[in-house]
Amino acid sequence: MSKYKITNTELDLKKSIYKRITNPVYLIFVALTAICTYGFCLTNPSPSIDWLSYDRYYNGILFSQGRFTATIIEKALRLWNCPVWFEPLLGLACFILGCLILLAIFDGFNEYQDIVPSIVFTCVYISFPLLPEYFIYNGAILTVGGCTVLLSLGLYFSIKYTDIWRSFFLPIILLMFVFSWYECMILPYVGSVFAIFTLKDRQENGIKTKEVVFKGIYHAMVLLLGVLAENIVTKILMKIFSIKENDFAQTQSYWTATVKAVKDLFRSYISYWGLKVFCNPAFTILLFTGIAAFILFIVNIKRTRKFSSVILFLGSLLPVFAMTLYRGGGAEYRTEQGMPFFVAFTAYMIAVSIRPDKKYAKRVLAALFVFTLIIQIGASNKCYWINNQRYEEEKNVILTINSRITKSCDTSKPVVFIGKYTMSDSLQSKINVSDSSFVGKVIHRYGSSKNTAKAKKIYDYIGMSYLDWSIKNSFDYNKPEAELYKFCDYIGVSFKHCTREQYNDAYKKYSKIDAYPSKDCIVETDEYIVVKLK
Amino acid sequence: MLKNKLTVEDINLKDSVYKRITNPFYVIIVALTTICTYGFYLARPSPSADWLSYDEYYNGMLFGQGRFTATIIEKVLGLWNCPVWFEPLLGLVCFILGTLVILAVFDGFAEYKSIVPSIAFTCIYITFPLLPEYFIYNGAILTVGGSTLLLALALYLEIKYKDFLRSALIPVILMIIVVSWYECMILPYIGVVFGIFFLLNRNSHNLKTKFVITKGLYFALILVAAIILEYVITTGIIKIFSIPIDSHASLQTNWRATPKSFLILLASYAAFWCLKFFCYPAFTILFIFLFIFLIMMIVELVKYKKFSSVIIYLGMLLTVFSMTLIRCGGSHYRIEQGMPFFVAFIVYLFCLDIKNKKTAIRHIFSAVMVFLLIIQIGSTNYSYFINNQRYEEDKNVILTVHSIVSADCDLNKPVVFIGDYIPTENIRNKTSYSEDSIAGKLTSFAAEKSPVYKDKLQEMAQNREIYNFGSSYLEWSIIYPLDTEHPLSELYKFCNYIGISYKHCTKAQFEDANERYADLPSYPNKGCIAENEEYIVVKLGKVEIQK
Repeated sequence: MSKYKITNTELDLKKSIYKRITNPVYLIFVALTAICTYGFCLTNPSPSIDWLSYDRYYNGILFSQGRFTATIIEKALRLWNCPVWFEPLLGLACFILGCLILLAIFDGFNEYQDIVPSIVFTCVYISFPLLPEYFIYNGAILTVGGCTVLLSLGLYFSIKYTDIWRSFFLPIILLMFVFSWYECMILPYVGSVFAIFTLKDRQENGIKTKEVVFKGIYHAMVLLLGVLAENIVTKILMKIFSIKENDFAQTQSYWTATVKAVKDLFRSYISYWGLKVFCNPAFTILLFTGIAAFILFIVNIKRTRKFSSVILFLGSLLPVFAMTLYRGGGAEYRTEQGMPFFVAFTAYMIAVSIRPDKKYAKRVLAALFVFTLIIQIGASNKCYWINNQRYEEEKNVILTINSRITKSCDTSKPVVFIGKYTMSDSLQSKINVSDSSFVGKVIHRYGSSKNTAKAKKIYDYIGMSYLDWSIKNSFDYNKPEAELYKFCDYIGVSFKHCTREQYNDAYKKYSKIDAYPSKDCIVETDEYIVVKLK
Repeated sequence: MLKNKLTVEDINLKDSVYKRITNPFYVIIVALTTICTYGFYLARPSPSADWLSYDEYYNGMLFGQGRFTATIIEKVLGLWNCPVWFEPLLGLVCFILGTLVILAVFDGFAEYKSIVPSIAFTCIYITFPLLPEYFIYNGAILTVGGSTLLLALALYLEIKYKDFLRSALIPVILMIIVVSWYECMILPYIGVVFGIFFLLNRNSHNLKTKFVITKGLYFALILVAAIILEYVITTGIIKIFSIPIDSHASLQTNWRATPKSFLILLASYAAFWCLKFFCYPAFTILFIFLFIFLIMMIVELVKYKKFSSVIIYLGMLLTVFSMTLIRCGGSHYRIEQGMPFFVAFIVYLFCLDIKNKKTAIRHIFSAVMVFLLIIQIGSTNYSYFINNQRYEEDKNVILTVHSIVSADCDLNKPVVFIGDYIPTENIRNKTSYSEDSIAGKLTSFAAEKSPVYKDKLQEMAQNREIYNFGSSYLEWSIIYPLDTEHPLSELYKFCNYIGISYKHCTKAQFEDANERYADLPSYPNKGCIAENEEYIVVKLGKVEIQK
């Protein structure tokens, strides 16, 4: 078995973790980074889209999307109906643990000399500012953290052991759980495999292309079998329990067999990625990391002069582009879970590449690292702050409406909310580039009217209105606005729920009344109270 | 007596504490556990009943209940009028320190081989999900933490030293302070004493009954002396300073000299404890551990046939049941402060033995422990989340009322709140079990068939409450005034806390409003606010006749 895969029986998980967590510098840096990045988000829970829909997600929807892990974990650990900070904190602890396991694997291919690369890797990974795009969802931190632990354990077992049970079947099972938790979490796995080859390539001064291909196939097989097993298990479970399929997750690809599809992909990269370099720090950092990775590649290929180095470089880019390549473009950054790994590993490579005698280079690296970390933490905090501002605004809308209704209406009647709620100008200016900025001008000059609004957005889902989402989208046709009523309950306001007939009737009859905050935005009928939001 | 007591001079508090707090695993896991369990609670203070009444409690009321420690501590440390997170955090530090001192005591009877039992003991102890029942009250974490530290220190001194001062007098003083802080904190003391006998019996299984009784008597004497002295001191102080006796603490027993009392006790256990097995993780965990404990006891008795084992096992059960045994039942879980120790100690015992078992068993055991810990932390957080949701709702009621009152009424007049405010369905759903759940069906069945306790059971079947918290602050502050001459004084404090200031009403205005405006529509209905020449009245719920 060991012939066909990367094997290093000397890996020692316990020892590797122990030496890092007993290092005070590592502990202080990582703890400070974690607190600075997630402290505000943890202490200011701000329900965003889906955040209060745990009763639906963990009672069937996720299962019917083919994602069984989350439901099992949340139900078994009884976390599903308690949206407070224990779950994200547990997720964060798992995330850091996942980094430690990855570092333990790296130890097998790169002699541990110094704690600095480990600090750089962990801190840059957990604070990457694209993570909030996904972390604003309830349960997302545990998803990413848990998956990072599972995939790194899968990789650890497949490298350390040579028996078929521990090196093959166990990793398949672990990856099956990862894939069923959140599909795009296979990207860090792909990244880690290429990272190990890269470290091996560096250690052995170049490896053969044949070795990369053959040994890489083994890990690809483990992944493919994990995906396959997940599909089979999900299908069986859905058949047994007669669960209906749910397509909310939108995991489909938009590729068509036309040249237009390729053009669309490039256009998508330019408008959603290229322009973001100038307004979203995550993409700025990604660009600089890409440049650094390319320089490292040039230096490496000059040294090894092997084709394998090209494969490894292209492979290391896969975690960054895989999702958009598969989907044919798009701006759903929350699916790009390979990016944090790419950036963190490149930083790790830079840190291990600097020779101990190069004091000046070390200092420059240290300064650069601290600077990058501050930028990352600051950008992450800004995302959470915008999300919190959005929540505060929406909370105040409901509280204001509640006080008006309590004063003037019969509160035993159901309250029907209609209209598309648009966030205030203050919030809009935080989540969109201004027309007078460089990016704004480029969009106006070259963008089509169809996608201008989307291209102007700095973030994907951050800053999107909960009210708007909960009015437009209902999980259950017969219970319109059920998610909006949950939001009201969460902030301490309780309204009687409307029926579908009442909602349709209100929508038909009162869509012309003045919108909130106008004094006439609330109308009371014999049957219900209607509130038009915009 | 001092010569015959249980003494281990080798125990060393400094060494024991040091080796644990310098162990990164212990520090990281305990710190993470603490942050995960209490982080949300600390970051989002949510005033519940009594929470803002510190001026009353620490200015005589607790003294009047015979509890002097809290008043002295809070006044000396200047903490009493600042209900933010420093005090609970200080309490948590004391709590963890208390478990460290208990572990130092245990070191004298069980050889320290690994850090795992210590981690398990501390983490399970401080996260037990029944603790929020008491911790939602202001000052409660410091009470439990401080008392744990003091009782552990008392036991340490009793065991380590032989001279009268350190092995008897100081422990008695420490226990006086504990008893006067919160009576039921003597339960962990009893638990630790029996825990020590458990550890002594663990290897030899050969403890003599006489040994257990004579050695145990010393610890009991210290406790009894402390209780008597505390009573004498409190009564003396109350007499000297003419402090009015306060009966809010309801420490009385419900025992009557009839066989019916036993039936009531059993019915109470069935209704308030057994039923909760199906809906309250604290009781699910407790019953699982009681079951394990029972099996351990049967194995021990069948295998070694020693009467001393019966004493030790029954003694340990005292920590779980003694308060309800004294009171003849009841559902005041917050008084059962022995439960967290009981569960944590059994886990500790298992951890001591698991070291010698096979790797697979060790791995399974570790997984179960992590699972247990996550369940405990999750459940604790859920309790604090419900309390916070309740607070948010109470707060919004006042804010909504205020926006109407400030727009339409003359705020120079006092605002009188009347009626029994009932939390919304959202809160009630979170704090109660459904009718068609196992617990719901059992309650209905019991309410119908039970020969005793019928009224209580019928009330239970109607309310189906899981927790003792989640009830409204507004309701409590209107219905149960601490000072009848100043009705609503606690509600005005709540309003002040959230940034709204109202002119206070008088007793006469409150009574007048209750009589005149009982038929007003209740909040949140239109017309729930009325204004007359003298005051503004807000009706929050149904008005019971209050005269």
